[in-house]
Amino acid sequence: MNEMEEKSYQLIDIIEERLEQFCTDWAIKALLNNENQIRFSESQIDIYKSWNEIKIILFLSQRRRTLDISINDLSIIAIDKALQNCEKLLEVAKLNLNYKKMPAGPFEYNPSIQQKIFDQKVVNLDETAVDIVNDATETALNEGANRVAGSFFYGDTQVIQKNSLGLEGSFNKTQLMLDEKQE
Amino acid sequence: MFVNDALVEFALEYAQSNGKYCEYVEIRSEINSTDTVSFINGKLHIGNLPIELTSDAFARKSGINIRIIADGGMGMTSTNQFTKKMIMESVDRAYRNAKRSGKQRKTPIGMSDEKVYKEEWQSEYKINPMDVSLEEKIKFLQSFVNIFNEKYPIEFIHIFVLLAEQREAYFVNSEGSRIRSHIPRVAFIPVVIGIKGGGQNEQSMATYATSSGWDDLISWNLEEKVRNTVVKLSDIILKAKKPPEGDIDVILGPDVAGIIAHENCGHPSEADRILGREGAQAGESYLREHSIGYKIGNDCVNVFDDPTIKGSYGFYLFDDEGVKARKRELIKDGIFNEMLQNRESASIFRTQSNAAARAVAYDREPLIRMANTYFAPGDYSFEEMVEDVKLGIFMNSFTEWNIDDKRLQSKYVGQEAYLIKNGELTNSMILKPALEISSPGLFSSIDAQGKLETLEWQGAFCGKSEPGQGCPVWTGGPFVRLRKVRLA
Repeated sequence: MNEMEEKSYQLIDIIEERLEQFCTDWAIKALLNNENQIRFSESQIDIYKSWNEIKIILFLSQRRRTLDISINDLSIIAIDKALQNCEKLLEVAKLNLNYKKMPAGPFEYNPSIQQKIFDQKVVNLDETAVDIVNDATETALNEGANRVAGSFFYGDTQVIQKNSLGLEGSFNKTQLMLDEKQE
Repeated sequence: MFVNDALVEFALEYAQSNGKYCEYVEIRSEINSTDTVSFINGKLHIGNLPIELTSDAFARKSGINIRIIADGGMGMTSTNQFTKKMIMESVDRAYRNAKRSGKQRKTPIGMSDEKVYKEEWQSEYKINPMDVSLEEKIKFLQSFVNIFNEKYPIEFIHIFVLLAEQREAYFVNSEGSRIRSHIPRVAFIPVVIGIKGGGQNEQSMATYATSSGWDDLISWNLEEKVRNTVVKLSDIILKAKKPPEGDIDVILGPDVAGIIAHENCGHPSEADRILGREGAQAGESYLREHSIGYKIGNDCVNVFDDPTIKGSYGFYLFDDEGVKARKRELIKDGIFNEMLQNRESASIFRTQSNAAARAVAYDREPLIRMANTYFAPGDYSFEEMVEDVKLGIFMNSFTEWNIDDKRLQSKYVGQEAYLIKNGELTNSMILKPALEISSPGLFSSIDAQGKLETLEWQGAFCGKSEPGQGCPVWTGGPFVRLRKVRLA
């Protein structure tokens, strides 16, 4: 388990303990993002950015009063304050007529989906991402473009989930997008 | 003491050790807090969704941003995990990113030489909007909903949004700057749509925004402003007539002058647009074809941008590259006088940064942004402007606008507009007069700007870049008169 996963599971445990005190149903989703973007213009790279963050998304319910909130200030003080606000809000919230209760399962998933949404080659792109951008711009210039601008986004996300019915799970996904404008 | 000071200093020290050679390093730690409350047609929402589906009512973000220049390339990382190990990984990553991108560049990225500062600044306020209770915020919004308990000749859809936010930041760089800042802001956004049977409708959206605290916002008699909007929308739908044809004179109200200052002058003056850096995102600039000194308008035209205006929504005293803020004279006496610069663009143009680098959160790079952009006041009273007009309109507010991505061709459709005939402002309302004009054409048509006492401001969120950054700004101006323009 890497440091981000360890931290995420710790946070989930802390949040779970708090939620048990004022929620009838809850679900916690931790997103562990490693994302990158190379921005280029005038056929040159302007900046190569990387984001490394944990984002916690909560769905909370207290007798059919529901709310959801995302937290990415991971300090315990900030999490406590956010949950205190949630508790207050749930007290004044109206009944959510669209919500009955959390589905208990059992759920069946096709394991081949994981292979379709995750590609290790995307995770390993760091060494070659600049070359991909360079190839894209050079090709455009060789084809007659005067200048090229755009962005190349790639990254991976691990999703860890847990809910008040004791269901737990996690999966990984990757994403990439090349956006190019030629003149 | 900012919660992450020690880690920020550690990150800076680490970036300059272990054999790394960085030409420039900056570390910015931020805590961003936002509370949103709104009413849609009288129904309370907390956050983005109805209260029974409440979402992200209280957004809290905290993290560190690292930017490094090495081998002529720029790398950036951000993380919200405050451990030494993660900070070291983030610094190493930013360094690698910079070196890798530097290899691809033909011209190395540099930063203009700027003074080093050790400062703390904050906006002046009595009541921090983040400290105002949810109950009080709901009560404030409810007072606007109550306006619609009265009878009107048309129907209305109404949305009232209250956005309270706070940014706390600590900035350090490898040149020795240490800048700490604290700025709470609050914005009230009323959206009112008047509807009459048969599909006729008119929409008004305003943003009343300040960095001078909750007490400032509630002192503005906003209830009367919204009530006035409701009456005007009814009048437009029920009474407005087709605009006159041919060449006419147009007097713009402060709302319209402000959006024009922002869109037709502010954006095209951004040096990154001029250099093409936003080419695949927000767009470029017609000023790319011209240089400083280009005669863009009549001698009376002055458009400025000033972050140092106290209480303004775009207020700051140091930008996110540690440069001291000052007023920027973008168009001076009708001449393209100054671009908005950050340190990178300033080094390309061999000039100084004028402190236009702003980031909206820890996970965003600082970009060239406006602050408070406005037409500078002139010498005319409104009456003096009107008395010289044989046939024209007074466009006091706008309902929609468009502009191309080089900010050259623009269109502004008036909302509250009146006919001016033989030097007199009439009560005849004009329906959707559309001003379609190029930026140089617009600035060359201006022959008069109102006195200082007619200068008014509006809040706005200026969008740019990818990932997007909605930056708080003011736009403003006095009354502005355009001669011989043609309505579409």
